Amino acid sequence: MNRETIDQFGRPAKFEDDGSGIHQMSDRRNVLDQCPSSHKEGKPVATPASARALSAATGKSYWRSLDDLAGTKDFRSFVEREFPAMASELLDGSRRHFLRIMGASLALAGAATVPGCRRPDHKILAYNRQPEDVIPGVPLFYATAMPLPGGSCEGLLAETYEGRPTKLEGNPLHPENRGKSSVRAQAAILDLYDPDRGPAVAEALTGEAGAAVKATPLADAVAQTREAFAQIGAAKGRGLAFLVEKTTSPSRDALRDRVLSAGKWPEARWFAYEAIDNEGELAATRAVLGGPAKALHDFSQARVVVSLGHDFLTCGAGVSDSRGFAAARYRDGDAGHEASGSSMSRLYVFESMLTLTGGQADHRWAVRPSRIAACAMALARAVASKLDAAAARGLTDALGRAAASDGAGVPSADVFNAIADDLLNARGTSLLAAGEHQPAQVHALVAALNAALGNVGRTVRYVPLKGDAGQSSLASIRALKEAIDAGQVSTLVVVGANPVYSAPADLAFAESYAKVPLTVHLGEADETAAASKIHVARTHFLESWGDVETWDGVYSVVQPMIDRLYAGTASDLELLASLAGESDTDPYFIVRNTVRARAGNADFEKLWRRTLHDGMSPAGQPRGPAMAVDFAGVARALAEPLPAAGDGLEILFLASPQVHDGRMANNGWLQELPDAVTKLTWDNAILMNPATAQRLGFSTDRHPVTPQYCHGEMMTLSVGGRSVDAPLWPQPGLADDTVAVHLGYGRRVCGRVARGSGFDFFGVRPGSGQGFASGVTVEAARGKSPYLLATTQDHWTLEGRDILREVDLPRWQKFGDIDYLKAKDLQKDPYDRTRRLNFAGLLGMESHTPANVDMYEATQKNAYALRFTEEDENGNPLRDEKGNIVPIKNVHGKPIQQWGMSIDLTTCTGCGACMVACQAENNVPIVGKKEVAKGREMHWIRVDRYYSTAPTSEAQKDTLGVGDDSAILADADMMVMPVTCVHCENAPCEVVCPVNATVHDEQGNNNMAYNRCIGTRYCSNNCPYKVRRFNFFDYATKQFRGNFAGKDLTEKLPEIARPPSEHFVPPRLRQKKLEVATMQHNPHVTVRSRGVMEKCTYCIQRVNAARVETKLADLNLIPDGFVQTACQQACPTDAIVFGDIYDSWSGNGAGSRVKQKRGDGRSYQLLAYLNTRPRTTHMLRIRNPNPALVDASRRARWDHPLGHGHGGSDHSAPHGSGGHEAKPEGHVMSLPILTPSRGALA
Amino acid sequence: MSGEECCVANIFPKWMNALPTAVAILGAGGLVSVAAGYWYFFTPDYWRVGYEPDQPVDYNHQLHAGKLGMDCRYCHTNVEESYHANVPDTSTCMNCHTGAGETAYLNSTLWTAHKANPNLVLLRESYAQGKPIEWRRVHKVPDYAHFPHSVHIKAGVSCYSCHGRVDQQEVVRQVHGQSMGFCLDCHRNPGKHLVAYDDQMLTQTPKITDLAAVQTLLDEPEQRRRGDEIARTKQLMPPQFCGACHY
Repeated sequence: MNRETIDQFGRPAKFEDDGSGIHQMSDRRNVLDQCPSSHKEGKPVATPASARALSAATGKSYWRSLDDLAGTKDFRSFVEREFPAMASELLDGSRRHFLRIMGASLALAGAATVPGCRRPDHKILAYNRQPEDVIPGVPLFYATAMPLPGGSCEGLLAETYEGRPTKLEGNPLHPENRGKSSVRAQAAILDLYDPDRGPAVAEALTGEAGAAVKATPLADAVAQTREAFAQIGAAKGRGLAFLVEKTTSPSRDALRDRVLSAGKWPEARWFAYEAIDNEGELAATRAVLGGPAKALHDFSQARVVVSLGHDFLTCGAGVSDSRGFAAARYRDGDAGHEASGSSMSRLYVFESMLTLTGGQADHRWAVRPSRIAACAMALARAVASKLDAAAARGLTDALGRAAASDGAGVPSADVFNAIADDLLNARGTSLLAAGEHQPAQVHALVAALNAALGNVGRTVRYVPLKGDAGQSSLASIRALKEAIDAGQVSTLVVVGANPVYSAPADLAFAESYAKVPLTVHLGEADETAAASKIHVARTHFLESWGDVETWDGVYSVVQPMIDRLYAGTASDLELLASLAGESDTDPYFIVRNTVRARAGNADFEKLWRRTLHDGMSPAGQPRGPAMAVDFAGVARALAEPLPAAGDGLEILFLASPQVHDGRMANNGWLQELPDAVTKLTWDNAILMNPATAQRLGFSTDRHPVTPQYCHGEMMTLSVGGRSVDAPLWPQPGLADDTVAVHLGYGRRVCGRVARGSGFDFFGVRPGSGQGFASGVTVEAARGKSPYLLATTQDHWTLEGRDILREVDLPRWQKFGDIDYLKAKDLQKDPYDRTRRLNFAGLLGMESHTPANVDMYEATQKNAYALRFTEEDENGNPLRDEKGNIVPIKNVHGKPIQQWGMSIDLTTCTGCGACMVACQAENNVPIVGKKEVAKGREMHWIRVDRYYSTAPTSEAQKDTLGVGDDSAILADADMMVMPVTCVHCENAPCEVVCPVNATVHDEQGNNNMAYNRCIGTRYCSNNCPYKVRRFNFFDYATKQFRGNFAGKDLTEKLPEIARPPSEHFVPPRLRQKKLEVATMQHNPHVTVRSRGVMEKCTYCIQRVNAARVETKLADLNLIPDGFVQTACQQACPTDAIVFGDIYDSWSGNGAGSRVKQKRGDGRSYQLLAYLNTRPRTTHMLRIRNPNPALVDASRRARWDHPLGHGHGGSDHSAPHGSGGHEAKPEGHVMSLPILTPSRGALA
Repeated sequence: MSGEECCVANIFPKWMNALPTAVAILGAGGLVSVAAGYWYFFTPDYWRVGYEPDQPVDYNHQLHAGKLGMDCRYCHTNVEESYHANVPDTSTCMNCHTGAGETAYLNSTLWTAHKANPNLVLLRESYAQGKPIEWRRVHKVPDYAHFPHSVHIKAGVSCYSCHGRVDQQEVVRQVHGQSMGFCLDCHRNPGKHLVAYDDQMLTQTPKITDLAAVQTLLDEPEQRRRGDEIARTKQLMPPQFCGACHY
């Protein structure tokens, strides 16, 4: 007998085989009822003790947050609201309050609305002399480069309209980018138009009382310091010190050399400093390679990767690692056939905090920061014991002389043996990498292992670091502090750095800084600026000439796109050259001279133009000879004792993936970009495993104040006698007894956007433990109320429906090319239509539901359908005799291109570059923390992060989701899934719009006509994917945290009568977005006003522009790849592909890339059983576990195509809910897909 | 019962008799003003036929495009390549009105006429000082609609179809209300407005910018057949879905 159970999320929990290999449901009503509203309150559909349903395909439970895992009632009520919180907040207060506010608003609105209804006079300011090549309305693209924090760069193309840059893209020629770009490159354009950047505004900024920042124009700064520098000149530079941020700019290096040359200021001191630096690697490479070096990884050639705390996938440090890793991960057409084998790489990760890299791992171990070294040592010993004697000699010797290490808190020896075997099988194509917060010993061990395994020169290259980049930041700042305290510094020039904010806490650098008689600071209006005697505002990299090299010596010119927006600002080259009294202070000539010097005998002008055009020099100059690993050096490095496993808590300091060390803090896009793992916006927090928190006696209640908002309980975190108060955020995936914090928040002097965001953990970071420290105490902060945290992790949830699919590689190889129609007799459904399911489809609900029936048949037969589509009587596209789909044609018999997208979950790392790229392209506004907390973030594409857990025992199955189980929570796997409007062919949003504001077009796009929208939000309510965004307020046109008329008056009113936020002030009274901020807008995309729904358009402006362009070129069709969506263009791993899904003429007849992807066995539709027919399909994730490290129940799945586990004792394991079956009641199916079962499925 | 109790009290004063009339008059007046106000304030500006703002420089299209027969594209250079038909830069004007260097021009009577012409003085000032002239916009589609000039020209839609006989206008004025209905009218029946267009250039007769000739053509009864033929050969299918213009 077939039995099924529906869990509380409406997923089938139990299936039995009917012998045909296809699981069928006797009562499909149960399966199809996905609507949470049909679960009547008070009739629990599953007992809480087994609340978690396990995915039929993987035996895992997927959850987005601890609340989701626990399935609390509050959580249910939260997710069941279309807009999670406070959608009707006005009515939450008293009726009287509501009336009072509305009355006031109406009065103000009336007063404000009367004048000026007619069209204002529009002026057209034509050029005086139109520059050559500039065509108004047609963008030009110029190559430039963005220097990255600490060195290297991203090669970019800037899109400019009449000299106004609006968007940055990766430079296809640049070896770092290859056309792709990171989160920060995408967000950098917003910094250019940051109103808080100019000297005029900087003056008005006060982060705290008395900390006003006054910017001095460069010319004035030079004049004011002339006397001081004349004295310094006379003293040969004695008393002068420079503190510069690290960069790899040859021009700045040359300038430094001139400044410090014998004829100028030979006695001056030069310190290079980065707040977050790779100290361990610098120290290790000095010992092991004979000089400071940087390990460059080629992940594309690596079959086996071991990361020891190295988060190479977190976007922001360039994109080449992500790209290389994705390339080795999966290639189209690579798998799916057992015989062909696989070149898919395998990733092992040892890390403390769950990161994107950990999320991609095939095997991940959460270990405390201090134990990573022990893991490295254990791995090294395992490898050394297995290597043949000759190859292992150096390694064995080094290990023999190493200080003793204990094995507490590291995984078992079996793990290391299995990894070592894997590494040995992939000698020369394996790769080990150590995290930047790890000490020198780990880096030395990794270098030794890479050398012993023959990886150096193949997957790992060590490039020497010259000059500034090779300096230890910690040593620099210490030496500077000592020099100041010794009275040796009379003049200090700080370029770019913000040491007052970020210097190690135990140095008390701010006090020393204040003692220097003359301090000149170039940079943002930040803490150091406020503490300096003279502060010069810095230009954006798109405003002034500069240059930069990648780590391996590819030279790029940083080409400005626009004249400086604020007078008096200066670039680092300009400031240094001016202070030094150089003859050329114009950075243009400084850079040209650098290129001239590099040109040698080549034709300089030609080289210059080529460099500018391509964005880099034709020939890169290697930064130095290849370096070889010296095992004696490894032994020396290892002689230092490894970090011991301390008692108590350890703290891990991480660079924020959004704001890095705080320098991007005033960027609203980055502040509002949810952290890839924690999904927190606008804040950082004390991250701790919930099990650890509970053990320490802290409440992990995420909703102590209200069920709608997340709050963190305030904690006092103390490290070495210094403490900071910050909220606690329970974070699965963190190692036990470990606290992780992101740096860069809690800025005290900053722009308007960064104000009040997050907490400053630089204040507790000791110099001795830059990466991590022990001796941490956390205790509840007395008398502090919980702190509002805006997290998006539970927003736009699909309520636990079975949308995530992942398989292990062996199963995919065995069954990936399964074709349901070929494999089995044609299965007829009640509508006599044949069903065709691929591998991914068989894994999901589709295999249990009847075939899709057109829900909206009537609407589909609209004018377009009749005119342009060719379908059989069942609504399926017509196929020719070979089975190919006959393209949809227009009246002239010309095919109409049908757009679609494919998102690959195997290569998507979840970095968020797509989100910011979309924001930049489509004028998507930021809404602020409070609005995010209410679920009103506007991102058109979101990246959902799921944790997953596979219970390993019956006991765990019962406790999963009930308590906060330590082992489960630390070892949680992560899966990410970008979701955006999937452009359903049968779009549920369209049929409910009362004004036809959202309708289909003939190319398959679901159009959104903003000017028609009246804001009923029915569409969003009916969208099963939750991808529609509503402008509750004037987010896009009014200034963020801006002023409004009558603010002074309202401030005198009692609290209750004041508008709850500036959003409630009538728009006309609010300060408009500053003109400089609107300059970033894409002129081809409408800026939406309040009351309007919006969503992903498939970048229709790009499609339309491409169509215009092809028509002007007398082409009929847009070639594949000619139009890229913004998310696709940015995606560093190429996980997003867009194109014509019926295109059969591209690629020598193979069809467009997206068509090929859709034909792959990994391709599936989200919620396919709803018959929405999404145009965006996802491709399931493949994991590549090491068979030696996989338990039997997981391995058993590899033999079954559907993964349900066929018969035997294994059967009940994946489904879980054992004895807790409960028949759901009161099911009402509102959609007409519900039909009585007929013959074939009975 | 006393008289006071028995009689109906005279509770309405006498002036109330006029109330219905007053209400009717005021109500009618109110309705009219509401309607007028609605008409005035809520008519989209894009429909405002006859909008004819004064320009900072009294540029005379009738003279330049009409009498002198200059091609529209001499000034609106990028109309075939861009979404916008650009307003010319000042240096385009100065190609002719150079005022310096051209001896023949400086000796002509034309120069005498031009020398003190306030418009040309403004022009020369603008050019010398590098300041743009602040032209006032006449034709505007709303921000939420996007109109590519280039592809319309390519299809064979003449300037005349939307802008009318600019060559007869001393001051440029809006002759068609550019509502969505106006656009769709043509997108549904493109044949009405299509003329032959050859971007290889000016050999075509009539030129797509020859407004008088285009007008004659479009008014001919056989235009419909001719236009449909152009649509067929060029495989034109003007889009009618929202996303074609609104995004």
